[in-house]
Amino acid sequence: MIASQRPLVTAGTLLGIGLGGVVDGILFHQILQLHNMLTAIVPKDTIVHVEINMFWDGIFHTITWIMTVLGVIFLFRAGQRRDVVSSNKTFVGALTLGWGLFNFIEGGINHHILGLHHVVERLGLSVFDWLFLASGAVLIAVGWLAIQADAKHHAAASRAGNSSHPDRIS
Amino acid sequence: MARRQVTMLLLPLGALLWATTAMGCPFCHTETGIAVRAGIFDVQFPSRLVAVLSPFPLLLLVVVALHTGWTPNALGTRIRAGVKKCGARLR
Repeated sequence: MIASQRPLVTAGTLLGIGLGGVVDGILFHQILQLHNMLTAIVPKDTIVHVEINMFWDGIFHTITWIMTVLGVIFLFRAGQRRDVVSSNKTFVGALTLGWGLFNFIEGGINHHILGLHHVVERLGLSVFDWLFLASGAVLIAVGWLAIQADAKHHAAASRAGNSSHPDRIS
Repeated sequence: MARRQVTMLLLPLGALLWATTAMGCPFCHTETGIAVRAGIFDVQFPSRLVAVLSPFPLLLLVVVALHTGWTPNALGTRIRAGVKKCGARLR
């Protein structure tokens, strides 16, 4: 990654984490209703338990909302800087990286280590949890490779245009 | 007659609004609300809060690493440089 990509990568990663959390909440918690935040320890068998899970869903999604807002702030600040590359590839790569990080870390900690909930709660820790984890790893790899490919492109372009360009691969 | 029909229409609506399930929010003063509140703010509240929020410090750590340049490539370069330095000292 080159130095001039970093502000955009930070913004995109934060947005990817936040939006990944929102996708998880909308798809798995609300539309499919396969699980909620604490369904492995507070099963959704009564209205009281459903509402307790709904509360913890809200706490979790408050933080994903904060991550999204932070992403927007960082993106706005990056947009005001002349030394930051304005690249769709870097931004989409960072979004993908952020989404992957969310799936991998949330899946790893909440599904596998702490066992707060599982993708399909009825099955417990199942193949779907491993697929969720794998989707995170794949998204991280795809996002990181896109950022690195764009870094090489921009570094080569800056070398061709200006040999004393401050960009350096780190 | 019309008044009776209006009453008959409004009665189920009232029942729907005042049903226990519709008043089960964590801060409602109903039987369900009290049970929900008790289930949330019990002795396990702090540990559940920590557990639910536990992925975020790690996610933020990764973002900080990306922002400050502590990427896998940079880390690899630093490790390789360290190993070279140690090797040179040993020789």
